[in-house]
Amino acid sequence: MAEAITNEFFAFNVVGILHIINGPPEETLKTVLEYLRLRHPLLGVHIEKHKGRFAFVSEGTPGIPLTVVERRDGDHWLEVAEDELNRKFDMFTGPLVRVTYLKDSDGKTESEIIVTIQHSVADAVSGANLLHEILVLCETVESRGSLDALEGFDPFSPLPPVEAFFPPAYKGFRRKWKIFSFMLRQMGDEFLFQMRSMGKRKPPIHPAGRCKILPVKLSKELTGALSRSSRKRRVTLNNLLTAALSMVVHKHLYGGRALPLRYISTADLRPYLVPPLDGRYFGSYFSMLRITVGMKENMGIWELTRRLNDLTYASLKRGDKYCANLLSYRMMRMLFRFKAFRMCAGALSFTGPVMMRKRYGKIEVRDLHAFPSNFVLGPEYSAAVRMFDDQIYWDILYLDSDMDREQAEVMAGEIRTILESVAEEDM
Amino acid sequence: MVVTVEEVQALVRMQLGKSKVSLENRLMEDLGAESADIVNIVAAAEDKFNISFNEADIAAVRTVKDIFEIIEDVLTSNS
Repeated sequence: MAEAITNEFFAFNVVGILHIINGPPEETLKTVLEYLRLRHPLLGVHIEKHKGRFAFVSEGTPGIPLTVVERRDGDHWLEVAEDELNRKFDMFTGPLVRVTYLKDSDGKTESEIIVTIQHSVADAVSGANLLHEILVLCETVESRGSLDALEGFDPFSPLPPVEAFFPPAYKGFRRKWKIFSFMLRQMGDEFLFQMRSMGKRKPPIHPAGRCKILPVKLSKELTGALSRSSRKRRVTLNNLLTAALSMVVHKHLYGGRALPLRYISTADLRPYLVPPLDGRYFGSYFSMLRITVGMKENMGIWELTRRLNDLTYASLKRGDKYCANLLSYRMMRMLFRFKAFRMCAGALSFTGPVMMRKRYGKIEVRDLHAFPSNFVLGPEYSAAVRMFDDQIYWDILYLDSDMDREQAEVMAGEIRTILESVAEEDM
Repeated sequence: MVVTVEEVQALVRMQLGKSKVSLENRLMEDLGAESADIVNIVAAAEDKFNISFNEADIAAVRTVKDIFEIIEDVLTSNS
C-alpha cells in the first residue's frame, strides 16, 4: 500500500523536456519505452483505493502512451509542456506516465521528447535519470539493433512505500512521537506566522489558475562564479538561488516590507534511507520542507542566504524530511479541504548537476528542462533548477491567476541581475 | 603540495564533529552529513589546499575517499 500524492486534487505532474538534434526514429522510442516499463515497475501502474488508502497496481495497466506530433516551431514545446502540466492523469486506469515526441517533418533535425510523469511515482531526480536512460537505450537500439545486452543498468527499482526504508527512529512508536513533535512545531509556526503577518499581505487564494512556464538559462561563467561564491561563504548554492528568488518575490509581491515569508525547499531522501538508494532507483523519494523566514526591509542577498541556510539545515537535521514525507498526502488533503491558506509564497527545487551526457551516439542534447505542476494553493512564484553542461537551467512556474507573463519575466530578469551582481562581487 | 589521507579525515572529522572517520565512510549515509555539511567540507579543503572544486565534482562526492581523490587529482594537475 502506498499513500500517494495523487491528482485527486489537482494535476501534480513532473514534465521533463529533452531538446535534441538527430532524434531517434519513432519505432526506436516505442521499443525503449516498452523496455523501461519492465525495468521500472512504477512506469506500469495505476492507482486503486482500498479502505481509504491508495495502492499502486501493475495488473491491467496499459502500456506507456507515445504521441508523435509534427513540430511547428522552436516554441511549440512550451505550449505542449504547459498543457501537460495542467492535464490530470486518469489515475485509476494508468499508466502514470505519457510521452510526446515533437518531430520535424520537413527534414530538419531538431526535436523534443516530452515525458510527463505523475509526481507520486517519480521525483525530479528520477525524472532526469529516466530521460538519461531513454537516450542511452535509444543509442543502444540504434547501434546494436536490440536491447538484449545492457551493461551498467542494475539494479531495478524497488516498489514503495518509501517509509519501509526509513531509519529505525522513524518506525513504530518512535515514529508516532516524531510525527507528533513535527505537527506541534508546524502548528506553532503557523500560529506565529498568522500573528506576525496580521494586517499584511498573505498569498491570495484564487478559485482557478493555469500553470504557466518560463525557462531561463544561466551561462557557464555565471554558474561557475555562483558556485564558488556560495562555497566561499559556506552556504549551499541551493540556498543562494532560493534567496535570490525570495528577494524578488518579497519585493514584487509583498512591497519589500518587513513580514514573514514562507517558502518550500525540497529534500532528496535517497541517501538517508536504510539501505540508502542512489539516483538510479526510480520513484518519488522527495520531501517538501516548509520554512518561514522573517524578511526585513532592504535585506541583503547574503544575509537572506545565510538565514535560509541555517533554517533549512536545522530543519533537515531535526528529521523534518521524514515527517513531511509521511504526512504529505494528509497535509495536501487538509489544505484542499479547508482552502484557508496557500502553502507558501515561493518555492525552489534544486536537483544539482544531472547525470546526463551531451551526446548519445548520433543524438545530441541541446537543452534540458523540467517543470513540476503548480496549483492554486501552491507557491505564487517557483522554480525547478538543475545543472546540465555546467549551466544552471532555471525553469520558472507561475499561475496565470497570480500574474501575467510580463510580470513573470520582469521578476526573472531581476533574479538574474541579483545573481550577476553576486558573481561580480567575487571576481 | 601533497594531500594525505589523515589530513582529509581530520578535515571531515572537524566539520562533522565526529571522533572517528574512515576513508570508506559515506558522508550522508554513514556520517549523517547534509548538503550544507558537504559544502563546508569542500570549502575547507579549497581553503587549505588553495584549489577549486567544480560543482559536478561536488555532486559526485559520496565518500571521504572521493574527497581525497579529487584533492589529489587537482593538486597533481596543478603541479
